[in-house]
Amino acid sequence: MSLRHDAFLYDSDETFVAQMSAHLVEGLRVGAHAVAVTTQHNLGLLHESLGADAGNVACIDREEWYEHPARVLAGFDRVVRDARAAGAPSVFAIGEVRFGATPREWDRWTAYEATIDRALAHCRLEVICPYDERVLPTAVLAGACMTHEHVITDARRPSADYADAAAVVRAHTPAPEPLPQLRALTPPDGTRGLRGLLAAAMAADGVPAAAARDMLLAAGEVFTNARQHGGGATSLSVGRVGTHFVCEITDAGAGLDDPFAGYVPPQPAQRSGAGLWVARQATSALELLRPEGGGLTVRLWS
Amino acid sequence: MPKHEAPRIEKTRSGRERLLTAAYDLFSRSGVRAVGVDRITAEADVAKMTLYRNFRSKNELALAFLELREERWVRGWLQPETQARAASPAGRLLAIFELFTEWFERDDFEGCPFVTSLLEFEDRDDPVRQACVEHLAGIRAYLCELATAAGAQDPERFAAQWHVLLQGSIVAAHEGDLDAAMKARELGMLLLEREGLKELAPIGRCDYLAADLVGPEPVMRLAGELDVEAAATVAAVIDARGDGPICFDLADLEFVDVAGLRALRGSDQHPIAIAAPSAAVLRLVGMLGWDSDPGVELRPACVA
Repeated sequence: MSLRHDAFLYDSDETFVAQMSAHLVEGLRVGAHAVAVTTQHNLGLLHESLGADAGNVACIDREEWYEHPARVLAGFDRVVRDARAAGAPSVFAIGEVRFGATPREWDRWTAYEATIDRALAHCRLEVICPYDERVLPTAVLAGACMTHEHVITDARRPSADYADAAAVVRAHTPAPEPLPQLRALTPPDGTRGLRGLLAAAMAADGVPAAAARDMLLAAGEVFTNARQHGGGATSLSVGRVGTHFVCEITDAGAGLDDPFAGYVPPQPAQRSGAGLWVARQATSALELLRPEGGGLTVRLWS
Repeated sequence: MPKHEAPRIEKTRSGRERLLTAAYDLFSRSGVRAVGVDRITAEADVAKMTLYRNFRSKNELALAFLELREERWVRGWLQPETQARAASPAGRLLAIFELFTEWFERDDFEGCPFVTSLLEFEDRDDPVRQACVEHLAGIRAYLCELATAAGAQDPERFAAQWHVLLQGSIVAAHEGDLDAAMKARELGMLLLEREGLKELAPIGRCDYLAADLVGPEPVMRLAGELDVEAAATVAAVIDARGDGPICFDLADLEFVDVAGLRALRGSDQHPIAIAAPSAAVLRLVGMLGWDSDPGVELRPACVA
């Protein structure tokens, strides 16, 4: 297996520096690319401890990195591809997730942690996710033990709580809320018609140009999926919800019960698939709903 | 609009409008000379006085008709339809022939009143004849605009030649040749080829311009919307070129989706270069991981 994805529970700066410096130095020793995504404070600690090696470690402020789960997966996939293109055998990384302040955000990022083993399974990546026991809520720390096969404390051990990733993602994904304020449009025949309808609706709702362009891309992919796998779109609803523009496309197919759908990065030479991946990348959120009477509804948030 | 509403609207329209509507139908079909004022007033259901209150003469009515023809036919149909059917200027020039074929096949095909009226009025100083000349020049100006954008060497001459093809096809259609526009299109392709714009074809909303699909590195320019609906055809065109890398100039691409982008690599996933990618193209290239794929080269321009 080429992916190693561990959790590291720490309760002092000293243990953080000792373990994480060792991981990065080990990476450099084997010729891997070394990447550290963590807090400003911890980056400072690492910089001090790594000395001359610090210049060879890519340091990234986690505030910039952990903004959108699907894009973080794309980011790690890119780091690994770039390393391979540069001739490095693998990537040694630290990824200290920014869990946020609300239970909803904790769930969101715990679900993200649960997708990694599957989404990045193809990556030559040894990533350790530090969890600061001094500040993180117990729900998040418990999540760490469910989403990592191995947990490092004083030593690296298999996690007794390591759980089925699909079940963890499902348990940490909130049920989509009903949005009665959306307005129904007649589903068009083709993708061009869809873009025309959406462009007009987004112009009327004052959606900024870049967000509108991304929504046209995402909705087009979902619409194409509905035609290729779901017997065609049976309904289309749009509207503003708060600061977002929402587009829902429903088909009458067999539905999609895969919590990892759209989270696995496509391979460059792949000839099909990747529509849902692109739709997740191009939107701030994508929800899968099971409409009454069967089929699948994909809800896209600008 | 539901049909039953028409009479109500008819009654509320002014005498001027009703006269113009009647004149439009009659003049379009039969020419200006052949239609008398009695027939127009009868058709419009107005008194002759109404005609002369609104138009000082039949000629003035004819001038208003020609003006309305330009508004409806040129600005309201020809221009928007060609723009909707193709994205590149050369694609739009060719789209006119497709439009004409549909027009010729209509039961109410009426021909070009600018040409028919021009032939009716021999006196070069006649205002109706002069108006026809101006309106025809207006059509040529649109053709010239497209020819300039397409990169023709001498756009005015090119536009005049294109106009000869269009006018010729209309006369042939009067003769009964419903395929006349497609025959003229073949000549149009020769003209484009002479300008170095060969092998241009629209695929849905995507135009491809295979300017130099021979040589060590063939170049293909794509404009418009390259989406899943155009993908199979684009891939087939690319496959037909055989092996070897192709450089794609995507500077004029307005939209691209996953299937569209993948079509560029044909069915055998051959190596490609993408020149002048827009922000949207780059974004999708990144999402698909093509930016680190050795089979895809990104560069500022195609090598001439």
